[in-house]
Amino acid sequence: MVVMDEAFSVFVRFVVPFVWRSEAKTTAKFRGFSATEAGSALDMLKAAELEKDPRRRRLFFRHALDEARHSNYFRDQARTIDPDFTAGEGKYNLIHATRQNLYQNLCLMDFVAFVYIAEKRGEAHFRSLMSYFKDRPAIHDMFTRIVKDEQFHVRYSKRLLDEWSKEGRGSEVKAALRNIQLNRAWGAWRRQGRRLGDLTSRLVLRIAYFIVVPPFSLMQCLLQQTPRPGWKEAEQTTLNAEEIQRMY
Amino acid sequence: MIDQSQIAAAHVASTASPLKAAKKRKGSGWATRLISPFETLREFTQLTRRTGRSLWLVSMMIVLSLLAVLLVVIQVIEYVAPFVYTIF
Amino acid sequence: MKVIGISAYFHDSSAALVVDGEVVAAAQEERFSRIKHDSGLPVQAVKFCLDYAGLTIDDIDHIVFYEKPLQRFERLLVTHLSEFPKGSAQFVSSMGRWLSKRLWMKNEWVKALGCRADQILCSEHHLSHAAAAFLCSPYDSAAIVTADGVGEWTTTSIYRGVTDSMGSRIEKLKELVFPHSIGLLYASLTSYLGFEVNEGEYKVMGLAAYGTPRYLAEMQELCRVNDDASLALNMDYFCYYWHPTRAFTPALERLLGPARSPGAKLTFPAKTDDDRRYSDIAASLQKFTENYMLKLVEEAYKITGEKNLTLAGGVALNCVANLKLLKEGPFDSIYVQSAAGDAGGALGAALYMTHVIGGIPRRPKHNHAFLGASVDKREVMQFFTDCGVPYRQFGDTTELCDAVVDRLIEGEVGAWVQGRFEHGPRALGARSIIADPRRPDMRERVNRKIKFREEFRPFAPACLPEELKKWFILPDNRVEHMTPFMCCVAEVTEEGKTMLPATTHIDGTARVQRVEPSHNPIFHELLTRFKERSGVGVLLNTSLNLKDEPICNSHGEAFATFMRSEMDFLVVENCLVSKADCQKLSREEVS
Repeated sequence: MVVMDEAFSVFVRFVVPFVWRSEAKTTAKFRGFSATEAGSALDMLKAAELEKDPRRRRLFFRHALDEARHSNYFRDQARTIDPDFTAGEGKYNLIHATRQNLYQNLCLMDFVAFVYIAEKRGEAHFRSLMSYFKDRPAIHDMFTRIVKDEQFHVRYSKRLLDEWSKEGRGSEVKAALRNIQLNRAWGAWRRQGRRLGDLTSRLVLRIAYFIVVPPFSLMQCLLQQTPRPGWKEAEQTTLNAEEIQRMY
Repeated sequence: MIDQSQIAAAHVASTASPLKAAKKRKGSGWATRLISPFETLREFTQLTRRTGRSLWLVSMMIVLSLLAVLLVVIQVIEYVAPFVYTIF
Repeated sequence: MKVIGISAYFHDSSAALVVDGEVVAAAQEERFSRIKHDSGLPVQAVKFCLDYAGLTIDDIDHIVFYEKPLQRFERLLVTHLSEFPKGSAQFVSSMGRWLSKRLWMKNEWVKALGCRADQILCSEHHLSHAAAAFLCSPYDSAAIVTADGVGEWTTTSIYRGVTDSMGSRIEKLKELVFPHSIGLLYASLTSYLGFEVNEGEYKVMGLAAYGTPRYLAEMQELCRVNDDASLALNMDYFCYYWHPTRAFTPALERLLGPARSPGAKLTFPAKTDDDRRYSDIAASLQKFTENYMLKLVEEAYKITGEKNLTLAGGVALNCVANLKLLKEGPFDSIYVQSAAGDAGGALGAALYMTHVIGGIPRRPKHNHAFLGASVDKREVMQFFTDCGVPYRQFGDTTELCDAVVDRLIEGEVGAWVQGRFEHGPRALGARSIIADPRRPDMRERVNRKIKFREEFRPFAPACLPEELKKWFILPDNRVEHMTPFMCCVAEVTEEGKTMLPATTHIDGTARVQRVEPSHNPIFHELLTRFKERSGVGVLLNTSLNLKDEPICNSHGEAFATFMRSEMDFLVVENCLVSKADCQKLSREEVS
């Protein structure tokens, strides 16, 4: 995993100058980050709501507040670079966020492992950006604050995992970390595969439409009368016990 | 607001459904899941016969069902994405 | 008999549980999944219903789907065949969904819900609407009018519902079929005005008040209405039946002018010719719809001879039209259920199975909409304590209400979370944002800084029953069944226009909610306390959600909404959280 993290950092450093090459791209990226952070905030808040252990609950809650704050930072920074980016929405625009229901979908250990891995990646990413924007004090300062928060998130999640390891659940922790890494990779694989499958399905259906449908369409036009508009007396006035069992 | 004691009572003595005598398929395993699409097709045929469109809609439905099988297979692509190029 | 009703796959998926004729629980899936207008299978809503009643899926006798999927599929096929070769894109998207999943819905349900295939039954779409309307109503017999976009084939229908010594019966009398639909006309023009279909219709209703209906002739060109209330859309102007994303053709834009781009700014009052045009088109559409609905209910009266009317389907949520029916319609009494749209179809399907087929006698239904999940007081306090959120706990409701009223009088805006959440699209004092309606700046403040929505959107007043006549003009006893669910607007009295500027719309109307003590005792108490302090027994009441998000469900979601907006306080059961105190919330380091 250490190797993967370092590879990720190197990759990010190469990609950053290309991705953040213009003010318009920068604004769009900040907007995207704002939405992502807002979504993370909702997920962490849901975790805090559902978690019963007071200490973990408090940590998740703090994490949620941090993510919400980051979301506002990114939104405000985007607005500073391009005041028109919220055109039509005024000063009080809302950043839309969606929850992934991570806490509900993963067991507790997997959830904490997810947080650890995601925050580690985030911290590395934002550290690269902090360095990239060193000539722009406002953005540099923003990333400095965010990186500090992300480091806290990494620390607390690592602490939780270490505590479980010390309780004799080390193999479970390793399995959780491995699962999350694999799930991320598997998720990316499935996303690409779904896109491909969707494209292929659409192609197949499009071909079918122009090859299969015409004769039936012709039959329909020849044999079926176009219904006239207007009231129809109900053919079937009610639904009985036998009919409700049918799908038609 | 609902009276919780009524719910408790419902566990003990609930009015029987008139459809209890309906055919009950045992289990909900793969056999049921396999038979269910054929039942859907059968019901669709009955519907088109009722509406007088059986001739062309049923034929089209058969073709579309084959397409459906193909689409379901294609959905498996998400698991075998790198191999799809070899298919084509 | 234990029956679950389910609506899904189109918009506003929902589940409802009926046990021996008693509606135990009902909820929309979006409240749990947090996806607005979630159309997927309502797995979480079903789970909630079962958990609430302490049941498992095996305890359920029947699971009734709210429509006939094969009839809907047949309509799609027939439409595609008729419109060849125009509809290839629509064919690809709809057949992709149907062939891979929806045709085999029983398989999906067995897998997702853990039920058996033989538990699954299928009602009819408009019948489900009709059943929800009639079987929840207090009537023993009534005419039932359903109108929406489209079900399987039906777009509008007239039923008669009767309950007597032989049981309950709902009989369809006549129907209009696709593509001729008042609901689709409204939806198409909603899309033309740049709003999202199935979401923006309320906005069109609000926008209509800013315009003049000078496009009625054009409306008649789009849709011919006959004397018997049948209608025929001029399909040269519409393409919703073959285009995957657009509802109207370029011919419509030649008739009415260029369509409004989604998200384009609208000025109020209108400063540009285009903005004036959009408002006038909205006003014309609204007037046309009102006139049509009046004609439709007159036809229903003629053929049924009933004194009572129940309305259902998405068009029944047009509360401005409902006022016209109350004032000018031939019926003595009108009832509209709280979830009159597709979400109510789940409840209707379950009730139909229970009362009509199952033969279980109808019981007087609790005429309230609080059928969703509740919030546990102890969990709330534990959450706030563990998270270090400063809060104040109150020993009794009077003390709580007094503290809230103090803040409202000061001009603060608060979130109010009490008890079980509402079934349907309206917030009725269980998951609400509340404010003082006497302040002229309150509407703009709540729209812009709290709900982040368009300026022209009005807010609704929640009112004590004894104060209704003082502030609102309503046709006497006809409104008894409409006002608890905000199903109709009312004209505001002159005194009301002066005293309630935040909840009076530009046209002098308000979508009033009558708050009965038996339905929602704590909200009623809050209103009573507010009246004692201010002399006005009315509060501004809007749903507790931000723009384009579902209404809040849990205390965590309420807290998130509270923190993401500029609300001043949050009340969850007997706990009050102040925004000023939350500014001090700080990060705790792990050493």
